Amino acid sequence: MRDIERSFRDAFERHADELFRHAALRLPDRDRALELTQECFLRAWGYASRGEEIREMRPFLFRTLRHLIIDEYRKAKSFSLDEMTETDEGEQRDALLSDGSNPLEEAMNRFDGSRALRAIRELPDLYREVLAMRYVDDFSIGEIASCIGQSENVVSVRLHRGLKMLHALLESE
Amino acid sequence: MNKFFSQLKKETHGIQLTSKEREVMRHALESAMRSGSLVKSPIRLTRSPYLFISSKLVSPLAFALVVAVIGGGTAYAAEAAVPGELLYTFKVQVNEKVAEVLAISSEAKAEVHTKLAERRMKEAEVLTSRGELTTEAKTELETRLEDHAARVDSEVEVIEREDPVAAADISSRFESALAAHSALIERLGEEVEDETSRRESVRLAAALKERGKRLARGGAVSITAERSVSGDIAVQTFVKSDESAITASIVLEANDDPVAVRIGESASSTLEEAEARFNAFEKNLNATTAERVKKQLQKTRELIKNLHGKDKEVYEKALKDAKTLKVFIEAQEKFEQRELLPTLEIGEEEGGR
Repeated sequence: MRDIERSFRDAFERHADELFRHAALRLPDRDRALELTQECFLRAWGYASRGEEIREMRPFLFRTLRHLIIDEYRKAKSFSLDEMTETDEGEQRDALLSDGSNPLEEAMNRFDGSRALRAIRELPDLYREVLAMRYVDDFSIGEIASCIGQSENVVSVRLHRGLKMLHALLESE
Repeated sequence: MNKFFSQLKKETHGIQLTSKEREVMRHALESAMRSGSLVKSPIRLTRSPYLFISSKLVSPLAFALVVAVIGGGTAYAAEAAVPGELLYTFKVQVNEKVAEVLAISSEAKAEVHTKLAERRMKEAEVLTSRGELTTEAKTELETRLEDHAARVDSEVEVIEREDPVAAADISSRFESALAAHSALIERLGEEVEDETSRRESVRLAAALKERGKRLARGGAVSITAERSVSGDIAVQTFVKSDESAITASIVLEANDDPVAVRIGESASSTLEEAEARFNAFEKNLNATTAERVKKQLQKTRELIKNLHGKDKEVYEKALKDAKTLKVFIEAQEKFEQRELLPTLEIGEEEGGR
């Protein structure tokens, strides 16, 4: 049991800040973000102490946090219609240019990233989620896909749309 | 790298837990781990509290009290209170009472009171750091500390009859906590301008050191080992008390003194906690300090690795060093303004003190 305890303490020290940061980006209320972060660790502990195996701690914690955030949105319908409906407009994601660059990402360079935090908060949560995971939490597309349970293509499309919306928001300021 | 995204990332890195928030969260996680089961409040109050209580473990009266009194925000805010602040009474008489009530076995009780004693010491550290350790505050803290220490003593006496190894473990951990905090209080007191605080902190540090020595149960446990026909070694531990000699028999496969082994395990897990805390905020330290602390951690790690076959004193030193590192590293995180690291209690050179 001690080994589990140890790895938990370690996981807490390593990941508490970034999990809290992610929750704080997704939720309007800092206190709530605190509570969900704590709940995330407690759940993970419950899971592990029951003998279940956690192969990779960081993705597991993010997945757990994600479920908590989803529950949060489901409960509080007063939040805007960020619901998980997504229409498929037959949109293809921007093909990466053959040199691997992404023109939409490049286009963001026009803006001051340190001011973009506020704008990100205005995006629908669907896009906020993938943008945060990609550009703040440093997950790869594949990792995001497995965390949110969607295909890599869906993740790419969402990122693309999220960036477009962010771009539009920043441009209109 | 993309400038926009790196700016964004830098900006978001300002969003993090305050050290108080971290402390409270860590505390909640530790409580859950200690209680062995997830205890969760079945009633969600306006703000979900950080304290989780299971109605099965708490008497109905206590539970009613807790539900009536605990507003989530209050319980949370009270955790950080120190003597002289309004919420301190709440902290001690509500939050901590719940923890006490939840502890059922003697071992759990001993753990709780060890933790509570540490909380008193941490409060003394906060007050010292602020230059606010008045004579009254120090007296209050010392009195409460002595209460908790006495409780630890009496629980340890009970535990000793069944499991002298566990008893020795608890004692030595408490002792190392007293020693470590004593050193920290002394250190913090040095820089304080207020004369009263400085004086009181020196006195308190000395008192803690004394108390630690009184705890030492080195002479109380003696061990004989006999190799039996099967090749197993039967170890008998004798606890000498005034009334009678009480024994417990444990069969071990190795020659290791079970008490020493147990203390070594505590030293190891304490050091891991220290290392984890250090890794978390290393980036906030300047490079030289960080390097020196790393050396101290490494040195203690080496000491622990090579404990096999050594005397109990060496094991106890390993535990004390690990605990001192942990206490000082935690304090550095909390008292950002001060320069507490590297602690002078632990030498940095090989073969040093």
